Amino acid sequence: MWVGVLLLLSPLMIFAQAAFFPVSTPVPAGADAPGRAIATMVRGIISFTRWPAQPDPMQFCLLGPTRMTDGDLDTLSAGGRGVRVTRVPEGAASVPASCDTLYLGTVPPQRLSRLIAQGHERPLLTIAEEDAACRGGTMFCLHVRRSDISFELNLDAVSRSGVTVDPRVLRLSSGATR
Amino acid sequence: MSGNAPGRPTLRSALARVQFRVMLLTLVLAALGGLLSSILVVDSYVREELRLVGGLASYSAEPAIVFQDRAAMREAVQPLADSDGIRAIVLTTGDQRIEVRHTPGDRLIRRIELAIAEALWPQPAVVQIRHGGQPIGEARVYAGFGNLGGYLVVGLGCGLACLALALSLTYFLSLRLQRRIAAPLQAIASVAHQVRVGRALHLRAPPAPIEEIHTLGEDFNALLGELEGWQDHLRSENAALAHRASHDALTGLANRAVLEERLATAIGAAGGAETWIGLLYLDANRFKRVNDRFGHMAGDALLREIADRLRHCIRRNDLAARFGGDEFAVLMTQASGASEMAAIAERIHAAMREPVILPDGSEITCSVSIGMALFPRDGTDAPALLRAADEAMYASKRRDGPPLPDVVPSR
Repeated sequence: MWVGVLLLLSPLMIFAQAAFFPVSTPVPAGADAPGRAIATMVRGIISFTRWPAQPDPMQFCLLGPTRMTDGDLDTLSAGGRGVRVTRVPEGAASVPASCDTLYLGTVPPQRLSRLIAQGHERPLLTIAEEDAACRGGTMFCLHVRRSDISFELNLDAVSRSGVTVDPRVLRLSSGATR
Repeated sequence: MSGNAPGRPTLRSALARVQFRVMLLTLVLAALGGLLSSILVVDSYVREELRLVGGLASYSAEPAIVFQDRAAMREAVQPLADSDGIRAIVLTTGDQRIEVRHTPGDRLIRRIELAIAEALWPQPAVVQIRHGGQPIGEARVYAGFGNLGGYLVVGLGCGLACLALALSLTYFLSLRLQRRIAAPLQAIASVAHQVRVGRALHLRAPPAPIEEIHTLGEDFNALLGELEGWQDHLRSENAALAHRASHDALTGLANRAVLEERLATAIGAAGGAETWIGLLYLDANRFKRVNDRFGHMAGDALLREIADRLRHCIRRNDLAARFGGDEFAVLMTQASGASEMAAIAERIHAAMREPVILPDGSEITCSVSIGMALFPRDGTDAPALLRAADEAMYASKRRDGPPLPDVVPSR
């Protein structure tokens, strides 16, 4: 019987030794635009994010041009949770207060930093599509390559955001080891 | 014990054998029970472990599945499959299938263990992977051999230890039984044997610590006591019969047969040696008249008195006998010669001169006639000597002349 207890405990010990590894969502071959893959990753990120009060539907605010098509954006709500996509006007001075998620498309880094630095009165998940250096202050920075997409995590931004990210996702981040 | 036929066990070995069998049976039953319950327990633990590992795999692989990252899925479950308790983990999501196998290493025993595990638990535990309430895949976990080998070794060791314990316990218990049952029984058997071989009826079985054996011993002792009583009774009866056969009932003297036998023996023993054997032949004078006049009671009393006086006159080694009627004889096996015999005959004559008081109070005097014969002078065998003594007695009777008045009334 004691052997059975050992058998029970053994996987837990192994789990404690798990290593970090970066995630990479493959871009389907032949697709012109990686929009669908980006949408899959964004949907995943949203699904692993917890707001203090779970918004339903969740306000997904999109700023700047993105490689996701409208069809890709429609798949965001496929995970069961209602997602309402709102396009923020290019010239907006600040993030609309109703936003739960701010997705930044191709936005100059300076503008991006300014927007983030303004702060937000509600817990906000921030994702940047084009910030290779991940200096803009968003929580997630996507790295879109020809064959796959990965993301980098800004832990400072995560801790300031007011939302919580599933630790399993933190482990998948390519930037978490930095 | 004597009389122990080959192939027939002693009580102790029979007891030990029975004890060992009972103990072995108990052990085997207990081991079977333990084995069955441990199989059930191990099986349930293994299944539980598979479910737990499936849950872990599902939890670890969930983000990788959501992000559709095959490498991450593999990475997420690989550490789980490194455990000896896991044979393989298979993740399926949509049309994708990822299989992670436990690598058994080079050692043959590990591969054998995996093969055994495959035979024992062919079916995997299936855990559904859900994300946001929606099923996104399945984790199938196949059981490995785990630490079952250690468990088996420990179990086998415990079994052997129990067997050794049972053997030694049997030994000590049989020693104890030997002391409490076999030894008392052997004591009784040994007494019985001695009684049979040596007629030692005075022996008794010792008390035993166990009631039944004690009772057996007591009954046996009682039986021995009765046998002993019977034997004593027989012995005394035999002695009485022998005495009756060799002695005269009236006077208590030996009878003619005894005297003749002793005479023959003495002659045989004397052989050619210079040994004298004397024989006196006595006859009460006019005894018939005492009988006729005073009755047979008086005659008997007279005969008893004559016998008593005769007994007092002879030496210790001489044998006095009554030949029947009023005839007596004395055998002297160590006679030194005719003169000594004559002296004894004279002593007898003198003793007989004393008056005899009859039961009715009358007093009579009775004389005897004595004839002597001496070996080897008067004969070399018993009949010749007896004849010679008899003739000498009659000669003496004639020589003594007319008989005395047969009765001399005392008043």
